[in-house]
Amino acid sequence: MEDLVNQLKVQIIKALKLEDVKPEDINPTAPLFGDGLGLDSIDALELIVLLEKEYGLRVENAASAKKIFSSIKSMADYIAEHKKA
Amino acid sequence: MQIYINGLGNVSPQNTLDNSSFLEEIKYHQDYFKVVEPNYKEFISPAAARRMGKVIKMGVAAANYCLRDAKVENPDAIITGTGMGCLEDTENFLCNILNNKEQFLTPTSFIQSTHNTVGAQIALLLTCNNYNFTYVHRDLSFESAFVDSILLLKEGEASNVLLGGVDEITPNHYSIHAKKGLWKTGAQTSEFFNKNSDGTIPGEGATFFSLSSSPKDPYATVLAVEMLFNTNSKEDLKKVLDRILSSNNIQSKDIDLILLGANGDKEGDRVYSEFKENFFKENNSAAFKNLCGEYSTSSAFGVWLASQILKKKEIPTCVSVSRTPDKEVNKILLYNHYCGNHSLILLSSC
Repeated sequence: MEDLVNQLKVQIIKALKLEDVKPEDINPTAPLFGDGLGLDSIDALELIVLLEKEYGLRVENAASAKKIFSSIKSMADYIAEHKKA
Repeated sequence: MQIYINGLGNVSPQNTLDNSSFLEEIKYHQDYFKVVEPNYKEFISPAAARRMGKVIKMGVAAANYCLRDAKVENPDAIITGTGMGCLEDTENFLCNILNNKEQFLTPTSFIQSTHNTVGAQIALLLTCNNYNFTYVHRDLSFESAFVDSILLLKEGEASNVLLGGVDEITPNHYSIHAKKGLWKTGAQTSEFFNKNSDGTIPGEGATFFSLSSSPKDPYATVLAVEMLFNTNSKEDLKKVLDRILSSNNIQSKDIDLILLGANGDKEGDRVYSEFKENFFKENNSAAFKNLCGEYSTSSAFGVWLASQILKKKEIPTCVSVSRTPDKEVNKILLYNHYCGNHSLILLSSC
């Protein structure tokens, strides 16, 4: 799981061009939106595409998206659970 | 009503952003002119900059510098001209479509690829909800924006306008047009006026002006901005020139410097030679594109250069004049053309 979290951090930094952020700066349980990384709605679309492109996972509805994208840890949990299936 | 240029901001292939220095050394480039990029963190927060392509950052930096120079916090209008818009983001978006077989399209490049993104980002960062317009009229984009700015000021709908011309070049754009034979490929920009090779050398830049109906330590006064579309008629050009001269109550001999958009291409430069020969044979002349390259809004660089010459009362040594001026330069006429589209801009010292 730790490897997946670290991989996600690197992918998110690259996809969202967070040039001044290092993987170790990101708290995996901190919120991605609002506080924490302070991402916005355009970033949310980028993260949806990242999940589909890198892990083949589609987010089916807005309610589940809110939960999946609450933190890097929650994204990693979702990937781990659904990749197994 | 007089229109004054009260502030300048220029991100170009030369060191032009700092208005206190004036082309003290000339920078040469390989293949094409690339802008000297400033430290964008002085103008844009890292959070805001992360999604911006190069041309947007160039535009925002030049616009910010210009507003500081003119001591304007929030302009009454932001009017931008661009021939090619945000090329880098457009290419990214199109490449993503191809590389990912029309799947996984991310929104950022698409959002940033529209031509009005530069003007929009300037407004967003200033929280400026005023008039905001972008002109995309190929090689007359900057001039069209200029005319709109003057109309707004003259009609009293704005007391100050932020006017800009922005265009960027990318390696893809360069190589595609090289195949069409438009460029002196593989050249150093020092070979700009090499008459033994066809084509020109392209460039890029973001140049902004703060225009106002009230002078505030101005650089220059704008006396005329005129355009001619799709013509190579000497008579058409003469009519416009006569109108410019008569409306300003001057004669051709009163123009101290003709600033020409000659770009090193044999065929195109013949038009400039004829213009000089036909209408301003006795006047002093100089060129400016050997400093910035050829691009859709390069006339904005020419207006910047003319404004600086008029205020600083000096012509930098890197600008070659046909002869040493025997009197102070008080009136400059900028003439630019590309593929049958012509523009004439007359500026005066204040």
